[in-house]
Amino acid sequence: MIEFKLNGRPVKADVKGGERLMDLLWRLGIRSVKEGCGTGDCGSCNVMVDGRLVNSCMMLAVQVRGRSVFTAEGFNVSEELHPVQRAFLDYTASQCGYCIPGILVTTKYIMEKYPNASEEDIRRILIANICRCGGYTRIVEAVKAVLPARSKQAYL
Amino acid sequence: MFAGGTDLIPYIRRGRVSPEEVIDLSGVAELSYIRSENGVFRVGAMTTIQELAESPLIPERYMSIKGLRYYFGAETTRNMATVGGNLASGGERDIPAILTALDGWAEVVSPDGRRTAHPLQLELKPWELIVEAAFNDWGEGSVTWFKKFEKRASNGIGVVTASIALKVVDGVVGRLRVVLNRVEGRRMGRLLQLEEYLTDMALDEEVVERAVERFVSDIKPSPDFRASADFRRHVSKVLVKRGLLTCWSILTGGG
Repeated sequence: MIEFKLNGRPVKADVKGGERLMDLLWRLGIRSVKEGCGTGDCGSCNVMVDGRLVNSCMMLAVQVRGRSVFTAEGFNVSEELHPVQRAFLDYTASQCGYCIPGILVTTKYIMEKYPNASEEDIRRILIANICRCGGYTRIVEAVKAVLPARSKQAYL
Repeated sequence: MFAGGTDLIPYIRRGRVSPEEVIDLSGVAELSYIRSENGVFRVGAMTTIQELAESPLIPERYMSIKGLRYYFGAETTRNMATVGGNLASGGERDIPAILTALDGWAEVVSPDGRRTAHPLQLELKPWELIVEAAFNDWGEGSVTWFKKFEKRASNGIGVVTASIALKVVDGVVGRLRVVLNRVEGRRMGRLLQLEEYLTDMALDEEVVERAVERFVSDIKPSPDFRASADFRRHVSKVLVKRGLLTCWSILTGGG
């Protein structure tokens, strides 16, 4: 039995030793994380744990005990769209949508950790996500739109 | 042993290992640290790659460590993979290459006690655990460099990786370590003859070109689906030359 915070709400869950974080999240009704590869290469399972961007397909469920987990569902805390969701709509950043939840989480991570990221920095962090439909142009534009200030120089 | 899981989970999924019991090390907070004491940098085995790369304790001249943020996997990988895990997985990975060039070592514990091990000769028994990676500070007048040549932008295991540490003393090479991911077969190693030859010399493009041509031509890297032996040898020469000249230039003010 572990206790942790999921998108701001306290959660208690029974977990098996060999269970991955992704499996636990699915049991808890989270649908945004996807098993695109299961080996940490595609980023469709990206979540944030205590502010760190990680692959939920490779983390054990027990490893989030006492921690705070953020998934794309965490954007929907009110009726209004979060600025990140709004930007992805405005820039038509999604095609099939499979990679998008993972990219939304990566975007939140960029906003929090690299708020002054340049386009080059954004693209470098987005190495964590694969988009097969023909990203990343509109995706990058959407991410740029939500960052408060963007410098021309590479900040990283 | 489950450290970051970034090697273990893919190995399990691809059928390479099928462990019946796995020990999760993530709760062992005591293994996550970066310390500088008595001229020695000590990095706990559970320190993540991102934590190591961002550590303010490690001076900027350790470019090979700072650069991990650019060539070691993706941000997700770096937030999970550990220094100890990358060492234990070994092979052609980045931490073994960087630590070897630093003349660093691993601290290994077991029920029998504690021992030190060379990063490329860990010979871990099933009941042993890496607890720390350490290296002596090379001090002022030194710089470390790392470059990964890879066919895709995904920062995986490189086709060729070169790891260099250089210290200039009295205007000449005082101490030099050059490590390539494959020197013979799939074995990572130092270019001992190149290191010895260039020690006590002043470097310029011609000197480096000749030394690289003479000593790096002897490597026998195994070919595989990623690249042929000839291509690996060629890229190895390019990277070693570029690394030596870059390090020299930084330390001698653009010489």
